[in-house]
Amino acid sequence: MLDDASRFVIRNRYIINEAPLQIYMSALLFAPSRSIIRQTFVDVLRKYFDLMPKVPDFWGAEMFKLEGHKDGVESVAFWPDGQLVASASLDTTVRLWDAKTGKQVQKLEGHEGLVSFIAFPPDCQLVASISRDKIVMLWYTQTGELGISFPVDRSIEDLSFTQDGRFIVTNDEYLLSVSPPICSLVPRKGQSEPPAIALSGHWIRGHERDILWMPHGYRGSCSAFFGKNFIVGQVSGAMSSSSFRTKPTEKY
Amino acid sequence: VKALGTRRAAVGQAVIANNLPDEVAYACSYWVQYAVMSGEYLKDDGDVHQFLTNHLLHWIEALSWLGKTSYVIHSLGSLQAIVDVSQAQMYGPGTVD
Repeated sequence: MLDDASRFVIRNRYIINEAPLQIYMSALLFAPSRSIIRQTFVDVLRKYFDLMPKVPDFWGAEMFKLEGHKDGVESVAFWPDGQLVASASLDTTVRLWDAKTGKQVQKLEGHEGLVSFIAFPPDCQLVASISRDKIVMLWYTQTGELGISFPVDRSIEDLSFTQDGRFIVTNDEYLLSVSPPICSLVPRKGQSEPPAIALSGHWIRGHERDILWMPHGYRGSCSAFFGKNFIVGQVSGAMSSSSFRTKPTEKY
Repeated sequence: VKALGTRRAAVGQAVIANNLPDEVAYACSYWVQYAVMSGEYLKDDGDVHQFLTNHLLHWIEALSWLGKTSYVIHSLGSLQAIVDVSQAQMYGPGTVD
């Protein structure tokens, strides 16, 4: 029952936080028909419905959804310790989430264009975002305040940080130096390693092998991985998060 | 009685505080901690199980009005921990479901 209740709250946290009485409506109506919670409280539903939609018998594979974005999610990233998730969206906001509970902890507003990429530098309380209109912004994760913003003269197709956190790695041959207040492009040496695990089309690929096929409804436009946890951002604006039982390695 | 679609943000703090006075809010927030600190393990049909069977949704609703939905998730995690321990101690490792 406790596990069932956790799934029930986590799956529905967005709506029950927004409109608590939906616990007795939407949350219960779409709970799996053979879940303990649905069976225990089905009389509540009978007060409102004669016919109920067909729902799955059991809880699905997804553990929880992070909901709040009003438009597609373009980029997701894990904070270096895995506790925080950042997402960038076509709705022009960047949001920070508690990775454990799915609670939205910050909404960062300031970009005027679609936000296309996001990244956390190692060892500092910042998150960087870049919008389609070529503005880079650095935000403080604790307060949600904008640190600095600056325009760049090229479109950036990727965003990550160097290990020392001093430079943003982009798609082209330049690194973006982010030692405020100086932000400049410097030539890049060598190639960065591709990530060990990543979303590629309908598949999660690890170590250059397809590991997991994502069915319709679970597929995403972007993804982030941290240890055995992964999160997929979707065009609907939702993100779903799951965990492998163990960290995916060569054995998969 | 409110409409089922009522947004929490549309209900004044004063209304929520009136309907969920401090002592109720306190009980909702902390009963799990007391249950955990009591050192007792949870059993099927025990007090906690009975309470949840009758009032789980009410409890979630109350904490949601208080803006503490996350608290439910943390609390359920704490309760799960004390079930597992009791099973492990009573039946030994390996028989835990």
